[in-house]
Amino acid sequence: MGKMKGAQIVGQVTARKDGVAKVTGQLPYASDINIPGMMYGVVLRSPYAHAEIVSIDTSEAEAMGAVCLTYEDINPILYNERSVSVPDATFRDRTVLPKKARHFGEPIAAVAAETEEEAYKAMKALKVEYKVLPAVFTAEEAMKPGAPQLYDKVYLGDKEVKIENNVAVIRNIEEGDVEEGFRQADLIVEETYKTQRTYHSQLETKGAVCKPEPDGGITIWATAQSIHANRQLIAQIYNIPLSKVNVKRTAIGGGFGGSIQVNTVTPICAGLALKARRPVKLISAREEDFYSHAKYPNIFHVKLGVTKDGIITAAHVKALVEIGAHHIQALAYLGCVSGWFASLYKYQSNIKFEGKAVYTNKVPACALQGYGNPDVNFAIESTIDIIAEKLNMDPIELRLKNYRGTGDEFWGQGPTIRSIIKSCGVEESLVKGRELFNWKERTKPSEKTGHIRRGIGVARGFHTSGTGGPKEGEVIDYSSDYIKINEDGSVDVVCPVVDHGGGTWDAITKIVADVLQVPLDMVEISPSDTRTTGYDVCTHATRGVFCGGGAAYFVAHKVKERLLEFAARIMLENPIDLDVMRDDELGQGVVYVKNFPEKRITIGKVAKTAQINSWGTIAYADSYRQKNCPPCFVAHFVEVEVNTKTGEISFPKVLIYGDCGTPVNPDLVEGQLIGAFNRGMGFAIYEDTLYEENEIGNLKCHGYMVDYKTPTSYEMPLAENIIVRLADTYEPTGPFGAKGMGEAAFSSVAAAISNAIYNAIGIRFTELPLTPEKVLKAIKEKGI
Amino acid sequence: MKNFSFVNVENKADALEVLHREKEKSCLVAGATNVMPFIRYEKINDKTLINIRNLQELRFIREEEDKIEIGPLTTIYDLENSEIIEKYAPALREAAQDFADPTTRNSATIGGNIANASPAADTATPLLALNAVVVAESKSGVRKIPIQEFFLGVNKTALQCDELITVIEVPKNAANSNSCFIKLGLRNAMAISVVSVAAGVELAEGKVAHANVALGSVAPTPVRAKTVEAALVGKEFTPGLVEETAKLVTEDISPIDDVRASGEYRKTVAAVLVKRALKKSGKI
Ligand SMILES: Cc1cc2nc3c(=O)[nH]c(=O)nc-3n(C[C@H](O)[C@H](O)[C@H](O)COP(=O)(O)OP(=O)(O)OC[C@H]3O[C@@H](n4cnc5c(N)ncnc54)[C@H](O)[C@@H]3O)c2cc1C
Repeated sequence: MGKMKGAQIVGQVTARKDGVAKVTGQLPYASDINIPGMMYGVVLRSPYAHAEIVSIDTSEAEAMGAVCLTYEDINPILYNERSVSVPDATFRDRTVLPKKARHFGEPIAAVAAETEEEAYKAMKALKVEYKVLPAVFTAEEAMKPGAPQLYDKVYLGDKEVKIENNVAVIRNIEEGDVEEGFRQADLIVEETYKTQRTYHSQLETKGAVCKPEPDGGITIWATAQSIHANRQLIAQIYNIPLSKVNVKRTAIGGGFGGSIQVNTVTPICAGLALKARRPVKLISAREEDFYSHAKYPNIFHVKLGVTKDGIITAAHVKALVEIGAHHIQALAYLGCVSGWFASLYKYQSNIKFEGKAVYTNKVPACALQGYGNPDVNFAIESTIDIIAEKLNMDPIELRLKNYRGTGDEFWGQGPTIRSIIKSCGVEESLVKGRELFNWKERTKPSEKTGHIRRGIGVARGFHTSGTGGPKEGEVIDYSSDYIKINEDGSVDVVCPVVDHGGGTWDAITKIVADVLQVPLDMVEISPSDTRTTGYDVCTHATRGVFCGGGAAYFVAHKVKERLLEFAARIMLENPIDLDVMRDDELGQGVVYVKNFPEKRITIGKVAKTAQINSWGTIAYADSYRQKNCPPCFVAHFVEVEVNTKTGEISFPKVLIYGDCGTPVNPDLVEGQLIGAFNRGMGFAIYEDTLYEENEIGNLKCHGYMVDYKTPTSYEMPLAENIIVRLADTYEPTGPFGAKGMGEAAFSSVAAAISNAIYNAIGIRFTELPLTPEKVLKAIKEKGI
Repeated sequence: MKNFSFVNVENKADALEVLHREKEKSCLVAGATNVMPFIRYEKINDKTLINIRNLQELRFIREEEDKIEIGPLTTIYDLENSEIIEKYAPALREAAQDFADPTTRNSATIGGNIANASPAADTATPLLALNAVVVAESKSGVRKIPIQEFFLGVNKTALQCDELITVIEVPKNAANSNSCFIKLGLRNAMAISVVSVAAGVELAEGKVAHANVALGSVAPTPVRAKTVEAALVGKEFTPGLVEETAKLVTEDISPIDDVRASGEYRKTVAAVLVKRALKKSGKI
């Protein structure tokens, strides 16, 4: 998409439009919505990991005046909470409320009452008779003959699928000639890696407010990454025309992938409201939220072949993924993981991936910032360092020889969504990065002494920007906008895109302000909902700026055409001879004659003239699909200090190189990179959700943050030792050259940390997290 | 079902009166940073919550002839910012600095911290090393409980149900003035200790005259490292001695495995922390 002349707002640091409202607590989130006559909903959750529900007696709760909801009240349609894939590639295994509990904390029934306290009391008065079943907690155990079975059958699209040995889905992909590739290798390295189940720790716990409407419809405010996904699912479950289901777009307190799917509590809240015929608010407590989602844990077996001069000739990855009690699209997950792995290096196009996803009696796993990318990145980027050492080659050189860059193929969303890379900052990041980080002075592990050992490590990663490709695949991707110029030259952007807090709305307003050449404070994102907007799939897959912004870029150009037509009528010129230009002195955009810029008229004047002459409003609405999914790249250079007496790891310094094409707001990109580094530290050395592996099957931390530690700012390197650089690239298919950044920022942190730890103490870790205890144990075993 | 009544008291006499009346049903509330989570987790129920937060008369840090006196309503923030504490009980100040985060430190009190008797209570370990004395009062009188006899188990103390802590006394001496505190948690802020150590040594002509070492999170109550102390006293204070004696700490502790760390890990790092604390206190 073309470049603009003049002082571009895109690329400048600007104050966030929602900043004041956020810091003064005035931006409404779902939990801030209060409606007269509103009741409070509370969920009863399973006290067992696996149990048949024999009966639910609601009489006592009802006698207390509560409205109760059980599986008997709800149309038992089977669905998948995640709807970004096409229906034929979507597994369906769940209902709003189950007849069988498949994990501790699974919602079993719900009540609504006048106050939260009464609702809790009523919930406690529900009597559920369970028949407790044996439970299973690991993928390996679940696949054994005789293991407890979570399901007999589920559906893939409309097709019935029998479930055997709890295997939810298998996905194998092969390209090129892997055997031949390994034959050409001089060295073959194999290693097994494990990544853990982390919890999203998003600030806002999941919740909803639902209000039944007099016409039989319903209005919903919910924690959601996609308002349209929520609307479609609620309409389907409760059999209401889409036109009567209105999901309002609200601010959300962090997503991290946990609300790509429709949250489990939202249809429950809707069910309560419809039954009570009154508005109901249902907000999860933190300890409930812990039982609603987690990251997919993985076991990867990696095999890479390489020639003695460092050309990787073949790659084979096996993935065993434990998905918990429900399918939140492990089929798509496995496809994506194969793509993240396949797109990292060229492997001479000899690639084999064997993925298997297995049900267990744990909390359902779903996407978490990268959808398996940070996990498989940890496996591949660790293996690359192992190879470099064996070949006695610099790990950066090895990466430079093999990375996929401009002109190479990239799998943006598994094997069915592919594109050709057109912008790439990998080389700049690695080459300039190693200078900035004094890579040359890096010493070998064997040369270190003392009980505080420093090491430096590198890893590189990426993520897709959106899920569009030249050809449509199994993932849905487009966005919609309605943009109009008001009678004073200001602009309303009506769009369905959700902003998790990363600044997507700001990016969209900046893009529109630059296309229409109006000042930034003359463009606002309108409050919107599913009734007033076209479809947008979801703010996921780092697509907010590239796809959401891309659609706004497209529609704004259409609006500009209208504007120039109307201006031409007023100015008695031909529209093709006109253009727009921001005039900061006037605080307005102006339309001017290209060869005679002195002849001009403000955009506000054009709009006002159009109105009083009854020509119409200067506006346009359309949907737009990005036909590309460019990778945004990162490289992490990390310095760690390992205390060999306690196993503690600290982070004196980090250099983060990001390539997001044009940074729409450089400050926010930097924020994404630094924030994701912090989260990457959590993934690498702090976080895990451990289970009591018995018939109760609760989390060992009980859902309390006190025993789920994430790193704070104290654990970060000092501000002056956090260096962020942005590569100088321009993505030709992005709005003003922009790609994404959010998920990429997280992708290679853990691998870089682990590689740095290796450099410090000469120990290769293959299982995350690297807790002090695990590190100390390994240090003792090695006799350091 | 959650069932609480609530009484607000304005002075010490009232507090003692209500404690006397409510007996076992009493639950004093100071900063509420333990009480509130306990209510939420349903660890306590059917209690009369007695709000003593406003008893400003029990919020003080005073210097006396041979001791300092700390009121139980003294907040962790107060401990952190008191010159008296810095001078006579630096271990307590360091514990306050490592405690939770600033917002919690503004609410949490020292009385609540020790009365709650968590094995991980961050002021308990220093108070044990400082040979503090807990003064408890009820309608029937005042008694002094040496801190060594105060902690009986997890959330169990020597306090009677009608007693209120009114003062915590810390002797003034060289070992206490040299004292220090080191905490190892799963992160640097807002973390429950995996192990904590407080130590105070007094040297006379290069030899150890007094050595007080206490540890937290390594047994059901904070404990004194008696074996380590005995091995130090009378010896010349050298890095070699510290290195050797610190290892003996495993004799004094019985840590368990929990969600935060294994007992094995706690044993290993306890020795490391004891060594560091002794060196810091003895300035070598
Ligand atoms: C977020 C968070 C972080 C925390 N981090 C730490 C930490 O880092 N280190 C740490 O040690 N603790 C920590 N705690 C625990 C808690 O803050 C401390 O134990 C605190 O000192 C308790 O003091 P309080 O005034 O809030 O006690 P309260 O909760 O009011 O009371 C605690 C107990 O003491 C009793 N009590 C209070 N005052 C008296 C008195 N004068 N006489 C007799 N009994 C009394 C109460 O009845 C109750 O049983 C944390 C708690 C939270 C919520």
